Amino acid sequence: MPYKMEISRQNKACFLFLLDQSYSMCEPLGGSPQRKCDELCNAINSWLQNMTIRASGDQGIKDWMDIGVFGYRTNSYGQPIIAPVLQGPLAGSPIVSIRDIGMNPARIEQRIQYIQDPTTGQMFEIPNECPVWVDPCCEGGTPMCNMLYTAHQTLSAWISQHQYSFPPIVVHITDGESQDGDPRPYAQALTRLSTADGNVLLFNCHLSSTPAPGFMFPANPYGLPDMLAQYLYEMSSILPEPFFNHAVAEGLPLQRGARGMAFNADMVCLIQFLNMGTQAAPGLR
Amino acid sequence: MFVFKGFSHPKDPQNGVNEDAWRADDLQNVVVVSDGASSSLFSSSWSNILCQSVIECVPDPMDHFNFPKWLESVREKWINGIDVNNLSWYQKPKMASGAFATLVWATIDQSFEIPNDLDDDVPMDSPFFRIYGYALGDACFLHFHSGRLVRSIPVVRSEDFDSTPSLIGSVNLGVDLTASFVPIDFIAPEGDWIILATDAMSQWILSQCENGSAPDWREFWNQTPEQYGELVERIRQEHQIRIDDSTVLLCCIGSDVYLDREFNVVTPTPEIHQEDNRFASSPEYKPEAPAQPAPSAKTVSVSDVFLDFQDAAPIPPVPPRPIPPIPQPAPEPVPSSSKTGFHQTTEIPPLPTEELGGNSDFRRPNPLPKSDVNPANFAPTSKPAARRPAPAQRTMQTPAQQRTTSKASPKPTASRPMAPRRIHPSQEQRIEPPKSDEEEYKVAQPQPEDKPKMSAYMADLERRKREEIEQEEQRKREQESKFGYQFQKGMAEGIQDMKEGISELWSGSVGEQAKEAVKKGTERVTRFFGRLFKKDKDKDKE
Repeated sequence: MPYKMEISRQNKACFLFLLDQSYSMCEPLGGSPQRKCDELCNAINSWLQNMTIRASGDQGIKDWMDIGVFGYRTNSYGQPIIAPVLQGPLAGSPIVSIRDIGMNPARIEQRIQYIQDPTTGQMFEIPNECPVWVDPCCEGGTPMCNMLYTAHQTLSAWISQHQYSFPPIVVHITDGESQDGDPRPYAQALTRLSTADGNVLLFNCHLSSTPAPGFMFPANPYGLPDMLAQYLYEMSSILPEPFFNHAVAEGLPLQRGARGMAFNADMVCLIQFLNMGTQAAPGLR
Repeated sequence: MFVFKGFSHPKDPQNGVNEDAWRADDLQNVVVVSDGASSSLFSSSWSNILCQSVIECVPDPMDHFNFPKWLESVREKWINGIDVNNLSWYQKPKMASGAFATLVWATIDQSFEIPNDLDDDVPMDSPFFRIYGYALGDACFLHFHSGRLVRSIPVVRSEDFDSTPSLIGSVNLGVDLTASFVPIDFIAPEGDWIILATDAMSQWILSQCENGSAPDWREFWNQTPEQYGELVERIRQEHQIRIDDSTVLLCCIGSDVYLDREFNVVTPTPEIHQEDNRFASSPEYKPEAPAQPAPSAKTVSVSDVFLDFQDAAPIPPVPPRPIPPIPQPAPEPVPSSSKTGFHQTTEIPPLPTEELGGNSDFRRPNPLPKSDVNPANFAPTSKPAARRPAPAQRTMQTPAQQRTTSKASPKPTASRPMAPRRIHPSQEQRIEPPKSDEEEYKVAQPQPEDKPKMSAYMADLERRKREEIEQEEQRKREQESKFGYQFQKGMAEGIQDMKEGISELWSGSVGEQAKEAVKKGTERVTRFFGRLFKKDKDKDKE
């Protein structure tokens, strides 16, 4: 039975984030005054923070997962720039452990968090420490095929060292079409990689520029708005049983054969997509 | 009372962090296992503090007054052991929710009750033990008898384990945990195994039992901690068990004699046994106890007291033997007085049946003088006292005497010889020693406590009579009101008819209809007046 391997220090998990850093990411996210690249970085930093807190224990941070965060864009000459986007001490590292993530944030920002007293209803301002690993960037075009090719190479190396682990999960977040060719063959090559516990999972999220209604985890291609949505649907993996059950348990009305895809996602949808796509693995719940 | 041995193997042997904890105490006769949740902070210390607190003071979750106090004291111990100021940025958010753990504990006591569902293989002379406690979450309590799983609490099947068990938290989040505790309470015979295990090991044990290959706990007992670690690693590689901290606590219950024979152990010095989570496995229970333990250091248990009371000499091991047939006591001649069921220290001679006259209500008769033995005394006018004839009355009479008697009294019942009647046991139990005349008088006279009963009876009679009178009056009132209503209605209709007729008369249109209306109204008014008068006459008559 695939996708059942318990995540542990011996059998680590791997999460790979592919972030679109093209110029269009400077546009505001649908339904939000913030730029898409800013909201995306907030979401990724929050995800890394939550995962670090979750992995923390009495003796520090449990080293049970590896994480890579890549960005892709082109320079002024149209040359693709595919590089890790972690800042600070971890800059340039393609794959780092969660322990390194927790111990080496680029900086820790003090932000004010508003919490409501459940009994009195009064709002409290609580200073909150927010570590930052990823900074926003938007430049050039969208070399999606190059990004998927680099992801394939990175994960091939990782899988060779973790053949019995839970398969790596790739989360690809973009706001537009590929500008260096048809990404579907590269996505298929990526999802053909496998460990003993199953194939690599590729989940795609499309960020919206307009406040149009979005949708998540479609089970069939009928009714998709355009060719971009069609491409992303074909690139996305079918949700395995644990992910499907987890999403259903969280109240999402999914059909069998649902794929790991979100279209026209806003901030709420993006965070929900990240949680659903990464927290259903055994041992992370 | 019991011997125990605990094994614990961490999730990551290289790291060595083990969030499971177990304790066993010979003095309190308590065993406890806890599993700290990996996702929470300082769960290892929380599970250890929980176990230690249960040993120090066994809580009762159903005690809604004392259990919250106990829990608060345990939570204070946990928070006092943490340096909050030196927490990292990733630890601070977790402190708000605290640590979580599952918990199962059991107390083992000598029992003098015998369970109803006793298996055939249990010897009659087996001592029994009552095991009671509680389980919260998916840390399980397992009971094995003759190598067979008898009960599993709170998870019954291996497939029922999920990732969201009930947990006890180190911070009061306002969650009522009382309903989540599953009680454990049963009686088990000597030689049964009590297993406490955390979720991964419980799931593996249950799956083994479901496959018909329940672990041999005697073999399990004999392995070393290193062998246990190898076993866990092997079944992890074979995907038989989840990769998690794996703890199991084995307890075999029995009398000291049995445990000494089976396990070759000497009752150890009372102390709390605990494992060190820093290391891979917990220390093994060492049978090499002091060769000459001081008598005062011996564990004082119910079984010890019981055995010491029975026989001070060392008791040889008793092999289990088949159940002997219950000997049937030979019927012994029982004196009639003993049939009454009274326990009497002095034996009362049985009364002759003839003397009782066949009726246990009869008092002992006074012996009649011989002069009374006369047929003339048996005339129809004789006193009822003659119903109890003396034996002398059954003397033979001459034919002349018989004729005289038959003429004087056609049915000389007293003269008939009385056959001894068989006394029914229910009647026989009513036999009481003869009462003195003073006692008889007391019984005959109405006692003071009878007066309230009489007054209550009279009050009840009066009340009933009052109710009957009230019911009769009510019925009359209803009849009157009914009559009055009809009367009023008839009067109103008659007056209306008269009005119409008179108005027509006044208008000058004197016709047959007006006449008829006046006549009809007058008749109706007259009729109802007549009925009213008749009713008044009837009242006067009454």
